[in-house]
Amino acid sequence: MSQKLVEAMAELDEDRVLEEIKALKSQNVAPLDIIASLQEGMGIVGKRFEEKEYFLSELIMSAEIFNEASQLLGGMGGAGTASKYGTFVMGTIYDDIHDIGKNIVTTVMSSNGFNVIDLGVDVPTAKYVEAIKKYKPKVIGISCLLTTAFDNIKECIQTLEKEGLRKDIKILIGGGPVDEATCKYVGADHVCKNAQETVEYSKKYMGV
Amino acid sequence: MKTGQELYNEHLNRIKTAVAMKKTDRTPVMLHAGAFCVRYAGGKLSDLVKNLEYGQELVLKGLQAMGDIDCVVGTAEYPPIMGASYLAHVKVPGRELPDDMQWQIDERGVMTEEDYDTVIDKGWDYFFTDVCKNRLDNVLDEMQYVGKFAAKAAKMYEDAGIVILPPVMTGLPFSAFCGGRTIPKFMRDLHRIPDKVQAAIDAAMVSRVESLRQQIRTVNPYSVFIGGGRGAGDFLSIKAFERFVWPYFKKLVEVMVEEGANAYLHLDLSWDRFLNYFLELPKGRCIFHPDSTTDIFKAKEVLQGHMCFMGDVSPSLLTLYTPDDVYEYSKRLVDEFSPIGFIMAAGCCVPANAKPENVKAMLAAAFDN
Repeated sequence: MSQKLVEAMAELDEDRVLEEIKALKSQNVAPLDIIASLQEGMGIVGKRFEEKEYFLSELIMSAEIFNEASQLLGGMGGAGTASKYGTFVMGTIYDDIHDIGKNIVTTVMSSNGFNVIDLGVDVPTAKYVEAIKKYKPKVIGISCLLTTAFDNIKECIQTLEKEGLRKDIKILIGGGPVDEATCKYVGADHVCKNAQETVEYSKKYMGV
Repeated sequence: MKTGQELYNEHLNRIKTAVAMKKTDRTPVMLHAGAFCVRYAGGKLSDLVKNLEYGQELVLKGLQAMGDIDCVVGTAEYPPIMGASYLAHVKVPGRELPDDMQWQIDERGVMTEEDYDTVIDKGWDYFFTDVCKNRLDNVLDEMQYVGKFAAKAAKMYEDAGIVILPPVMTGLPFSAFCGGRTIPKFMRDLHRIPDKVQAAIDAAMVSRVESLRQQIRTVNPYSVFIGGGRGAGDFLSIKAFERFVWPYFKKLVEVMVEEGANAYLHLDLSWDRFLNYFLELPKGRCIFHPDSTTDIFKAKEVLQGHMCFMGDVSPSLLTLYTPDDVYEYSKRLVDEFSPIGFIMAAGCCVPANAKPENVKAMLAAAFDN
């Protein structure tokens, strides 16, 4: 573990992160070890977010730095099996094209050690079904910004139940108008108010 | 039977009393509900796009069917121009979307990092015109189309006795840059090139302030709309909020008041962390309208006696709950806020798929009390 890299990541010092990665690469440190340091730094960022020392701006910035850093290592694939915590599938439900919240969550989840399958926006139920069968995630996320899409989430979750795909996964929902009543209405497991809550809920559920 | 003018005066006086933080004869209501009203009047959302005048007639018909509505947020809800102030495209029903689907802002990141320099060197007006012409499918044509209809639409509302609460709108450069850059890139800009972002905000403010003054002098509005959602919530630290958002929000409100207008504060996202800042705004000249994400009861503790409140029946209450649930919450709002200046409204706007009986329950709580 490179303490310098961990600290630079936690302090959101982009230049220092990139310099340190280049230095570690020149020392032939394994990409997976470098990623581990970055993820350790991301863990500190998440903690500071929970303690209200950092806010979404810093959370997004950290994920952006992480992405850039992992590109230096040949992408997450190039770094080997960098995902420690299993697979997370997410999309914005059909009839809704908003991607801001979804993108923040997928980026932050990815930089916190999850293998993220981003289904995009306006995602039909069939695509969720297909992704769950293929990737076998433990947690999925459904985003929406429109109240007119509540019924679509409900239909999607009911279909997952009918297909026998519901019992082994947790379904998280999020987005501007989504609250506890929405969660109950659509039959989801939990409402996430922000990206970090998605990270913490998923880690807890996966026993990390 | 009251004439339209008599009704208009009655509504405006009721709103003025609420803004002065005094108890009204009955709780005034604001219905910001274009999409909902079109559907309630038997139309489709694409009617707002295909024929501006017909769409507006449907909105008005829906409003009047809901009862004695005192005011609305604006006229001519024309979806194709709704992304422009955020430097964003918008997908609208009847064009990119099916006929009766809700329009949606489509942020594609049309603003580059170099554009901050353009704003600094050439000003906001030059930059905005260029973006509209060359990167937003020449939305200026659509804006001119709406502009030509604005006076007629205003007359339609006035004849119906409904006050257009803020016929003039302004907003923060922060929101425009955030939409233009997209949130991830903009948040990164705030960390990597904060001085440049602030210089561009300062440059954009020059024409914003001048334009605001000119509009107020031309239209003589009762109040002016100002939003700023992405400056709130959990997006920014207090330090960043105090640097990039609040001074500009405060400045624009001060300009409104200097020019004789009041400020309609349209507050999306949670402002819980920032409530004390609103005490810096001119007393008795603002309407605090949270979208149901801010704790309005906490806001009351802080801002009671400083400004009037509006709101804040949530989208989920209006779409998922029963009329009794809605009435109970709305009645609580009336009981707690009406004695200190209150206008009943949905949080942000009434969703297109709100249950009509729930909207009526919200209004009944105001009409009965």
